[in-house]
Amino acid sequence: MTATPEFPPLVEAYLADLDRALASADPRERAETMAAVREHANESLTLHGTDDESARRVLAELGPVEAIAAEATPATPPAATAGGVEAIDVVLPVLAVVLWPLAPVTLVWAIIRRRAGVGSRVLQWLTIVLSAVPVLGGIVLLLLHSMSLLAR
Amino acid sequence: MIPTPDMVLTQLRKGVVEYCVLACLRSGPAYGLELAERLGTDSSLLTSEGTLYPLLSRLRQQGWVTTTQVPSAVGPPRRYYELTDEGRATLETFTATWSRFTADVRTTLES
Repeated sequence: MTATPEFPPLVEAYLADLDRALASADPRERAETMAAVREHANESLTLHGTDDESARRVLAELGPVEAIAAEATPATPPAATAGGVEAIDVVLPVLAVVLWPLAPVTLVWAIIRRRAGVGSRVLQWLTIVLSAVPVLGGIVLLLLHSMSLLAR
Repeated sequence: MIPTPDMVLTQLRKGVVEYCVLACLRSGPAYGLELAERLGTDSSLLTSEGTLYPLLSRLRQQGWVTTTQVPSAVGPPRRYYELTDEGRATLETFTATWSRFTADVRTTLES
């Protein structure tokens, strides 16, 4: 499985091209395709010989790397999992306004969800902004109060 | 735009070739090169032999085929593809549906 036989330079270049062409493919499909094509090339070269002409014939049978890449499933972009609206993303901005003393909790919660890349980014930003207002306001009032106490 | 025969073939292959691969495995397990030969090197089913492998990877992930490494007398171990029970049942469903579908297509085209 891990054996990597030596190929003629033409075949090595083809395999490198194929690996690049599969860069945006599903990672498991990419790895399995690479392993299987290597095996196919090796088997074919054993049958036909490893001279340049045989290598060209084997590569012609395998076909253009673009055609193989076109058959592969594109990798699921991480952004595809984000963007969906989940109930918690709707509840958090509402809580941040209605139960504003809980703003620090909703703020941290929204930041964690944002960093995890799940749910609706727009609603998470809204929660962050709505929570930040009472949190920052509270801090400012606390500082002003402390200063007025110190000034006495 | 009038599609070229290649464009029509590309569309027709989608959703069909994977079942042809399953059908080629009905007679027994095969390694990649052997499977490509069973499908027919000059057949219109594959764009080229290499396009078989992403397809096989998907069939394996779907649980319709399994792979086994078998030592080869002439070189490194060969990856043999074998139909699973689920793959066999899938092929039966496809075959029955395909017969009806092609009959309807033929009737429509010839009407």
